[in-house]
Amino acid sequence: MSRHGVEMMLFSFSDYGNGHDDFGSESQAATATRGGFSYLNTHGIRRLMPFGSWDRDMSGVIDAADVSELTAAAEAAGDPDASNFAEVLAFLDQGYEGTFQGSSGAMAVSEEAGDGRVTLAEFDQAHRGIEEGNMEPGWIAYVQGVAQEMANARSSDELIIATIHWAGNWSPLRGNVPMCRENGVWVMCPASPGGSEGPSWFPAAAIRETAHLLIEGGVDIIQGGSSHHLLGVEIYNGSPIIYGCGPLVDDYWHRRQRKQGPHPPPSPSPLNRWRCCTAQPCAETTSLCSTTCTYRATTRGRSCGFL
Amino acid sequence: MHVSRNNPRQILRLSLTPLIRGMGENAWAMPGGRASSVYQTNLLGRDDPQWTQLQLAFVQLSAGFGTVVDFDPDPDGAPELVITI
Repeated sequence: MSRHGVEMMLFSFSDYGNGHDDFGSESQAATATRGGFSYLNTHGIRRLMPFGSWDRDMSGVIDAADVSELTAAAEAAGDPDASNFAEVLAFLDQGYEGTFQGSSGAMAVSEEAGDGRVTLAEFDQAHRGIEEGNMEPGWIAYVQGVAQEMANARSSDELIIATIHWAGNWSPLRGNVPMCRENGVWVMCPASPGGSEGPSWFPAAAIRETAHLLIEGGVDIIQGGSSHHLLGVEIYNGSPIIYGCGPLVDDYWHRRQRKQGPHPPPSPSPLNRWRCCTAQPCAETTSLCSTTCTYRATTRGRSCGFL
Repeated sequence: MHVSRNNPRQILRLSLTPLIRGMGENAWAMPGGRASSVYQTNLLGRDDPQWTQLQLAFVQLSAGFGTVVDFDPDPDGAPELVITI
């Protein structure tokens, strides 16, 4: 992204870490490189920890991506195993200026960039709200609430990038047919936007609706992840929705080679645990944010989360 | 992505390029490095024949949203995908 002389790049690290665990964690990341700064968001890294693979695999990736600042979120915030995060902190100490947050829902990091401000918001568990294309009760209201809070908190020169883990996980290859809602009834989506033959590589209506709501609420760019394949780009109200570009790196391939079993059943909806506190600096956070701040190594500006 | 100087929230142009190459021994973790499927990753070198397939697939998928994707050389002379908004 070129913005007032500031360059940014977005990457997706969808589900990295799944190859090390029979019940893969949920991980997703986006990296934004801006001038001398870079962001790397990762999710689900908790499950990498016991295998010691963080250093071995990710350091090369991060170096190659020219990441100098790292922000990580994991879904294990408040979990007794959170001590595993120490490995990530040790990694950051190797010369990366980083922020590490434990988060079980979504988080946002905001920083000055050029003449304006850029906020990178990450929604870790959106897939649980739109599981296999079906929306959990309350999902729409939740998304609208998040978008509204971001809009209320933003400054006039603030660009909001949302990276969303809305999954899919090779849905067409697994024989799952995305469902679309027509006249209030869930039906199979067209095979493709143009109605061509073959499996659908088109995002389900629940995904599109979620994206549209966020754009309408004030998000400027959406980068979706965890489809693990291309899904194309839609321009909605002048804002790009990158439904899927494929991950920069994941290790699903090893998992799939080793085990072809079904995915684990979805966990109970975490919607009732999600709260938004993006507008406050961490030093002033409520107890809802305190967990996300516990693991921060350093911070560059506002940094809050959702729990 | 290129953002308007007059409106910091207006995105004018979106460029997509194949991503990181040459990560050495870390490449084992990248499915695209083994070219298991053109749909699984965009970790392909610009000189990789599958990058051409990937570009065409992306153009086709984006067309489903009415999004026009153009081919345009980047400063290195290699093609990239450009969406003008």
